[in-house]
Amino acid sequence: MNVLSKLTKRHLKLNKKRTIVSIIGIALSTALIFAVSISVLSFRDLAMRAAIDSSGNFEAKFADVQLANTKYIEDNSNTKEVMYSKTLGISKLNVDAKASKQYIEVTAYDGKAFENYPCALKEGTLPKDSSEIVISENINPKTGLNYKVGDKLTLNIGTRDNAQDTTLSNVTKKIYTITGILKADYTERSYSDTFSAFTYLDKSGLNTTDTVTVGVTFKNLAAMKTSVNEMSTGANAKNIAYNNTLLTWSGYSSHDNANTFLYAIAAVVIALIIIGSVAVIYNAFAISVNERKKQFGILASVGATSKQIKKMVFQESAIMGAIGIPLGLVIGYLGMFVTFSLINGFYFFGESFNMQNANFNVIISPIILTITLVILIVTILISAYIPAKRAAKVTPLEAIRLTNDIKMSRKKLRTSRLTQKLFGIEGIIALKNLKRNRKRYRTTIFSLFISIVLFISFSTIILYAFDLSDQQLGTSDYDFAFSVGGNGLSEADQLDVINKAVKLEGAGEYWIYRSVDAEATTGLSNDYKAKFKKSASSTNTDISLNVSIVEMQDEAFANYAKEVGVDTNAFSKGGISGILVNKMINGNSFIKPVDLTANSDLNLEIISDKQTNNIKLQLAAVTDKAPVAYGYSREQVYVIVPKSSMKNLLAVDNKIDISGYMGYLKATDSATYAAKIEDLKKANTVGTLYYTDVKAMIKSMQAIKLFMSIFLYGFIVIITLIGVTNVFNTINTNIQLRRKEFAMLKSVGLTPKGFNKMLYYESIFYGLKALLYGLPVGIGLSYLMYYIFGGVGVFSFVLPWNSIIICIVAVFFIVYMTMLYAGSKIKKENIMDALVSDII
Amino acid sequence: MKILQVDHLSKSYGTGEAKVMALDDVSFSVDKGEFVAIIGPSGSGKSTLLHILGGVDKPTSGNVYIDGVDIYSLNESKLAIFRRRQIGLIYQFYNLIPVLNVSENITLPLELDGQMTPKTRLNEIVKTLGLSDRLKHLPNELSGGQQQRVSIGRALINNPAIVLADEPTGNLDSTNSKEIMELLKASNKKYNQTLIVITHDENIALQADRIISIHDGKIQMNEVASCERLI
Repeated sequence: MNVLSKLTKRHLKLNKKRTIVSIIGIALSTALIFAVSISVLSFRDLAMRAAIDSSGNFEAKFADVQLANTKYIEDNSNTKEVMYSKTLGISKLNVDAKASKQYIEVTAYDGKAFENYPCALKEGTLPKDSSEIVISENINPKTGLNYKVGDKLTLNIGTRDNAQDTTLSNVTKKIYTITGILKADYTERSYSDTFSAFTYLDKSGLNTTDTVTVGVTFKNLAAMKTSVNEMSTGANAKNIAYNNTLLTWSGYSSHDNANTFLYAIAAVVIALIIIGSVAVIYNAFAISVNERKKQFGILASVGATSKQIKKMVFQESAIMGAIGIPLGLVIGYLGMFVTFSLINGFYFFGESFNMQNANFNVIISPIILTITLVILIVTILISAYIPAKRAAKVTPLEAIRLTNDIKMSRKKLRTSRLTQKLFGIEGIIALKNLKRNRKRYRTTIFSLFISIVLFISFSTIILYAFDLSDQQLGTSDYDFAFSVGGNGLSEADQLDVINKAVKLEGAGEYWIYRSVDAEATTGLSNDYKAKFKKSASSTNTDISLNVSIVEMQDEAFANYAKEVGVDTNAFSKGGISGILVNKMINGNSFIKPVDLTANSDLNLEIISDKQTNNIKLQLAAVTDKAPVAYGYSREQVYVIVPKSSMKNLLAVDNKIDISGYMGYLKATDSATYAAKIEDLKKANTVGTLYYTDVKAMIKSMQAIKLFMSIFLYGFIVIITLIGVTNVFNTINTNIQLRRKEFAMLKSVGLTPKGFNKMLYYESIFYGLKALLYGLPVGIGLSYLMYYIFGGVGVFSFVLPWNSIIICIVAVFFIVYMTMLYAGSKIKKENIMDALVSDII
Repeated sequence: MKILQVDHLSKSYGTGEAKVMALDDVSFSVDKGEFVAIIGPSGSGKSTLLHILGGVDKPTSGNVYIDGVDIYSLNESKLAIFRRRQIGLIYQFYNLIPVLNVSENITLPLELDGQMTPKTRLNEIVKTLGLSDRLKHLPNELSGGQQQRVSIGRALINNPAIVLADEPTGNLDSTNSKEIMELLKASNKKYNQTLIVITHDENIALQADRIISIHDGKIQMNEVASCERLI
């Protein structure tokens, strides 16, 4: 080994603490960058698996391809796998005429299609020939039929030209054996009127002119476009569908690239980490070079070339990198492994992605490994370059004279008399030391600055993205909401289902509404006119107000009227009368949009298919109390009417569009009710019952919030740790460099208390400076987030006080602890030893 | 009147085989206003002695009384306060605080003590030291001789019981050396300031009232200076 490398190694060993701290800094930076890359890949992987679960593992699909032409697709050089399917047709089931699903649709899949298309078995086996079939799990509970595995299923399969048709054409009779029951999650649409069933596609049984659907996966996605064109031309297949969700997450979307957002976030985060890392690593080398200035000078005087000296610095960086980077990769991997294990424990992503097995897997690819390595090596090289250049410039004379690296001037060091009065001589010395070398202190302050800014802005994200929306949900005045959907469902049918739903076990008070949209142009208040003019984007100058006429069921209406203070008899006179909820959101406050009092008429326009109806709605009362589930809106006002009034309104014009019934319910026992309503939803044969469980929503929101918090705060903690390594190195070195001065001060009578006082002031000045820059920028970014999250108008901007206080305390704590640590070593030191020691 | 009393002072480094006696049962005393020179070859223990006298190093055994106070019976804080009030230290390498200017460096012991600096005292000292036009300069703007004069000012500002100087001229040329010694002697005479100087320079030693010669940690000679004996 060459003597210079020996020197470098010895120097690293001699400054063990700083070497270790610097290696930790490098390792943490590596770990973070690696972890961020892993997160991006793993999230993408999850999203891709979700896409495959829901839409299948294919990239493009050609419909109506003649069997003879499929070779053009199958034999394409870019084809990885092909899967064949064929829709055979639908068959009417023997069910009640009111049932929302009346038909069964039979599709034939070949082996590959069963493998790759969403088609999960609940029980039994997949069909192996064209006489076997698997059917949807929904058939039995929704129709009352009772098919079991092993049963024969006789179907008259035909086609219909139009979804509304009730007669089928080209009917053929087929007898199948049921081999299995399918999970219907992705194969069946709740709004369609068909159940799904799959049989085996036997290509040998088809004519060459029969058409099939061919799904394809490609070897090289980048060349997909070209391949699809070749296939389409060759096979004369014009009907092409892409699996856009999957392609989007693969990064080869046919149109917009939704990945961009994910990658942009990752890029910003990685950029922040790099800035932090460069600061730490650069600082470490700068300190190291400064300390060895004399050594470099002596080496130069005995003939070391500047190239050799530069090499020494780079060697130092290589040694640290060689230890720090692999260590960081391991930490990053383990960190993500633990994080994902924790997250997987919550399995809420399964719900958001509608996946059975939505676990995050730790995904590593050679590409991200390479990217991480390149980023880190470049970071280290950049960080070592400037100090190396400086080291190479040291002349023997400079080194021996050891002129102070610090250029001091009286002007720069000037302090005010006030400081002297306030802090005494200890304060003065502390402040002057701070001013003495701005460059060195800048890195420390910068590290603290980054941590402060990140902490405050991330806390704001969490605040606005979760806490406040949480609050909104939390104040919801109902626990469950439902509606009923389905083709040609009568109002009575809907009401029937909802009435069933609100009377289940665990149900409490409930409200059922339906509404008609109308518009008012007269009787508007000046406040509203002003709001309208301000927000009107179109050239439309006619001021109008959206009015929703809401029908409430009798009992609930009576209660509401009583609360508002109106006698229900007021509504029994016939005509159309209701209670106006005269309150609307405007920015951060509320306005009264209508300038009318009780017992006056509100003139409304209701547009139907037939005509524009002018309606006089008599206001029995004007209130600012909204009924349950009707919060105040920024778009419209509500008039609450009893059933009789709505009946009279609809009698005016039978083409008036009225919404479906919506039910809202307070549960006395949420858990029981949630189970019961799910059972009802499954068993319901009239239309489809949709419901929202507000408490469950809040719960899942909180789980996501917890996850985000772990993620974001974990990130801040590590960035802060990187910053702390930097602060530690700078302050520690600084104090070491000044040990002779400290000894001097002690020899002229500085007491231990005074010494602590000095360190204390120095940390205060540090902290103040970091906070002075960090807090305004952090708060500024917070405001930006508030703006981006659309909080303006919904919530007023709240200063993140908690985060600010935590920041202030943490900054002073970190700096003071570091100072105390570095100082404790000096305090213990013999004054004489320090005085006679050769500094630097 | 005895201002300094040293009783059976010993200082050793290391243990066992490697044990080195830097000071070996040293006893002597110094009267107020006396100018004592401590001489001896390198490694004889003279610097160790001076630092122990100055309260910046600790003896292994023995006592040091300054103005009647057993300084090593004081705790660290009290010793520090004692140092800034009663002891003035001057080093070969000046050891000024680089961020403080001349006047701040000189008044540092007073400032640390929380005292107002009497203007007249400062003016008198800087005038004596010839630093009147350098008060706002930083140490790195001064020559070696000037820096040493600042450190003398710092040692004298508090009118301490005793001034200890460790080769104060060791780093200076002969002209500057002469000047510095004149200053020290002048203050010795003018303020009846007790002065103990470590030196290699025979000429300086000869100017002292008394010479203590140390060899291998022991006092070899403790006598009133005279030319014949030294030669």
